[in-house]
Amino acid sequence: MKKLLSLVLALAMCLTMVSFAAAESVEDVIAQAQTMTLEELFQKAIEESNGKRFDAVGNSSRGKSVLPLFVEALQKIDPNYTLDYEGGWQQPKENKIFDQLTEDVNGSNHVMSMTLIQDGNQIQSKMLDTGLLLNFVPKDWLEAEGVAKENNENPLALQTLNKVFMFNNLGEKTYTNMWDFVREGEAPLFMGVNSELVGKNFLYMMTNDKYATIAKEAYEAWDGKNEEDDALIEDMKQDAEDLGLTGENVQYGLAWVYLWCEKYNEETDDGPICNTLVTTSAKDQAGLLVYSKLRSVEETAESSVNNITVAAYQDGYVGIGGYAYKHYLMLTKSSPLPWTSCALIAYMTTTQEGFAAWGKDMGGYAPVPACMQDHSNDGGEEFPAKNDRGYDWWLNEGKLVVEDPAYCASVSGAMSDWIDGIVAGK
Amino acid sequence: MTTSVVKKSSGFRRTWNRFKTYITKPQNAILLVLGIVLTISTIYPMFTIARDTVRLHPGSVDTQEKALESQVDALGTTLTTYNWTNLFTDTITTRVGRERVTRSVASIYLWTPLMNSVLISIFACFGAILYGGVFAYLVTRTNLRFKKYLSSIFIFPYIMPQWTLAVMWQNLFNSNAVTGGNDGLFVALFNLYMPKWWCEGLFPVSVVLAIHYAPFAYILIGGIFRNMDANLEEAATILNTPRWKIFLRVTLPLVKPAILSTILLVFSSAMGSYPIPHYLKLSTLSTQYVGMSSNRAGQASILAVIMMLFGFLILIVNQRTTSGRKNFTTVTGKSGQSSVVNLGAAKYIISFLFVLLTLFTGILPIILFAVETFLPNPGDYSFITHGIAGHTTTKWWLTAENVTENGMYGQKGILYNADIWNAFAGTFFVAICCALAAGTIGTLIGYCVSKNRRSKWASYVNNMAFLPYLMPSLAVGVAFFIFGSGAGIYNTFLLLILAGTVKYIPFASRSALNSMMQLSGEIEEAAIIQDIPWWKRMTRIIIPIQKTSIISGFLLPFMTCLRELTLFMLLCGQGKIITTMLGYFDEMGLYAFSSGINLILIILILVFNTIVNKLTGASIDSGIGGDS
Repeated sequence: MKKLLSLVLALAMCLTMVSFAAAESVEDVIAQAQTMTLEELFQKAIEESNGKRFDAVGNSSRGKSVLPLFVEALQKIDPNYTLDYEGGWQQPKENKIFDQLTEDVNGSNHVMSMTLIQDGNQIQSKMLDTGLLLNFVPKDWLEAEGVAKENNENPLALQTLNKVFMFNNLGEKTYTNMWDFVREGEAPLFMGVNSELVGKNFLYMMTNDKYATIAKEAYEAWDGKNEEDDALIEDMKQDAEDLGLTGENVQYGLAWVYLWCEKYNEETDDGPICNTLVTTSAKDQAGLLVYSKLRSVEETAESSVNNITVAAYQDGYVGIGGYAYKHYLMLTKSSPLPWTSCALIAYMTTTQEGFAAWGKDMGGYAPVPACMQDHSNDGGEEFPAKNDRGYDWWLNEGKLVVEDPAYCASVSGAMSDWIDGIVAGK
Repeated sequence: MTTSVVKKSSGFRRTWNRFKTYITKPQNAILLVLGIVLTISTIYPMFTIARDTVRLHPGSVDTQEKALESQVDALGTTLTTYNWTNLFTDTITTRVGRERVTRSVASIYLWTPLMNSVLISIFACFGAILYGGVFAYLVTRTNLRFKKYLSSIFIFPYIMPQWTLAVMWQNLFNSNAVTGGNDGLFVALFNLYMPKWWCEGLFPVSVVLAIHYAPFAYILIGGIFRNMDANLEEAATILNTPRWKIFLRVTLPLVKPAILSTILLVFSSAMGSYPIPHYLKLSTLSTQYVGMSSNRAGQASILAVIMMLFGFLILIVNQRTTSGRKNFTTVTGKSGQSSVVNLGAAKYIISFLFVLLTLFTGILPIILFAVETFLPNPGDYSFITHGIAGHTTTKWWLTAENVTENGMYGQKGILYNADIWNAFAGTFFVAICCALAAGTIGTLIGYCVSKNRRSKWASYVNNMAFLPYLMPSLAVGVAFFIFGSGAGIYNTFLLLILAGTVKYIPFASRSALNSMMQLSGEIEEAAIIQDIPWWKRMTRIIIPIQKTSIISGFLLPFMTCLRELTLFMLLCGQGKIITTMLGYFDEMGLYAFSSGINLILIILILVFNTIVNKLTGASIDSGIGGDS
């Protein structure tokens, strides 16, 4: 009896070891997947997930609309392929996506296969530095014609979104310089820095010398400056030193951030900001909001897209026109369906069909030009504010401040408190 | 040796026999089981939060310190006192009014939110008891006019998700000149500019919370007023006692338990309220908790611990105040009667005043909700201000396609939107399950505790059952979030039902305890003498007598669950239940969707209330006086 028991236990141990040896880690899968074409990845996904359950988590609810298209694409190869994704695309609230991913990877029951996530700062410090999320770059993406690799490859960006300065043009005020938004008496509408953290990342990025230099040039060209402002900028050198920030012109960026934090009027979302700015009663009101919100306005006697002006579209506008943040796609370290996740990521980032859920909006830009839809004439001559000038224009002419996860993570420790102190002292 | 074994054996047998005798009483057996279950379900979330304050959080300030950086692992298992010492002893250099200032970390993240939280909790309690208590007295003890109508309308603010009143407040009073942004309805219609303190901050938050919780005071205090035997007051009248003295010395002590229950429930709820301060721009512990969770996660948990400490403090105060014979039996086996105070000519003035008040708190929001669903853009009243009838739309209800233009954001109209209806179904499922579980457990606790008034164990179980309510909803949500994510049940109904049940047991237990304490023991004793089994005594005597309060104990968790956001917002995705979806639409500024959902929610609750009323004779308000 004892011998039999020992034999059974030994057999069980051997089987366990074999099964462990045979199982591929997510890192292994990614390494192999990065050498495969979309069609090859589709094949692997079919082998792996046919009839199985797929769960993912994202900041954008549109992820769920791409899943049926993805399954359809796989069914063209294998008509019997099915994937149980009903209710599987989750969108947690209140920044809990990071906690959820952490618990999922560190817990004993791994559910989430992949994520579509924003906020470069937290992605870097909570997900990449800890190894909880893994990056995958599709071969087809790397080889795509005209792909914008800079700032989009690691982590892999699904899209870049822009938030731009706008103002209600029915009043007397003019906004031709980025410093006009922080002059005395202004209260621009903006989402709270701690309710949407990409906004705080934008403020961190303003201390990067590239953008601080733009702030300096704009300040020098600004006719609204006075001695007090000069003194403030000079004084900011000490703050920069305390915060451990280096860079020749960092004091300009820091001064602008201080004035912005002191003046902005907090709103819960960009939707209400847009609804406010386009009304006739919002004279002389400005805001910083997602560009694509303009598509949601219905023309009435009270509200019109023509009541607002996109600051950077004005001839002679000086300084940054807004900021850009990204939606990143990554696999969890414990992804139950890594091949399927890689295939889905490749589908979303290299095909127009896969990107369609996001591509239909102006103000959102895929790194692969072939995925994009043209929005350069969405408003025509009637509503010129809705004619999107495109990614390259916004980056070069519009001077968007682009989120850099590594930089944000490196300065957030000190900067976050400094900003919170200003906001709390308003 | 043998003697000692025999002694030990007889000692064990004696204890065992004592235990057997104890456990044969149903109320004792139930108390024992519930005591164990509630200890686990209550202590675990508190432990989770407390543990989180000494954990390291990757990407948070506690791991950005050089000394601690090397200790960080992805699991965050290393313990540290950094979060406590940093919050209470460290300073930050920042700027206020262009001046460089050094401020303590606590002054930025703790003291102001703490003070605001305490103030809104006190004001909300005071306002709710004053408004709800006076109304309860008028409805139950006077010849007020339109009682049925007023009683039904009065509870509307409690039915509605609390932040909808806050959004309505903004839409009414905000103005471009004072708050920035566009003009609200008051400016558009009457050119009336309200001051900033009226539009944002402490005042509107306190008022909205008081209005929201006043029905709560009405239900609890009104229940006592209704059951109160007027002979007590009449005896005082015969003794020539002045009316004010009768009120202070007889009436008020009798309703004191209900007032204390209201204070306990409202104070904790107000302190843990997130959406109202969020919308009306007041920094409180709960809004700070959410704001700090990315960069100061461990210190956010300290805020939760502080909120919990307030809960304990209230519990101790409650224990001190209600100790001894300060609970009064008002329902006995003897006949009782209630008298009606004649308000005289004032009844019309008072009735009109309450019709006007409830019009603002109950009817106006519904009208505005309805109108909002026909506006082309959120808050765009151009069909009124410009008199253009064409500037209305049915798109929010009738759009059958998935369109992104004209503000629909890819959503179908409410009537065609499967996501909205699925969320409604999810909400009702969770609410029914929570109500059944919390209501049953709470009623049993109320009964068992009232049968063991002097027992320390009963007092412990009662406190354990009540503790989850004293913990901020957000903190309970975080604890269940951590538990649910680890167990792989995040975003499932199971997790929502578990959290909801634990959180809402106090509603039922308080309601049941209040009523059971009034129940004279002689009623059940008569049945015990006749050897009637326990379940029969419960179903034939106890429950029928206190039917109203017991059903309230089921209805309160049900209703609260229907419009709960703070507790559930961390436990599921935004489309799982209707409040998370409603919160999403409100945050996005899609007020037409949120207004439509609110309308449907109110109608469904009223239909449900009517059905319960027809079937059982009880309802949220009818047992109090609305049916008289």
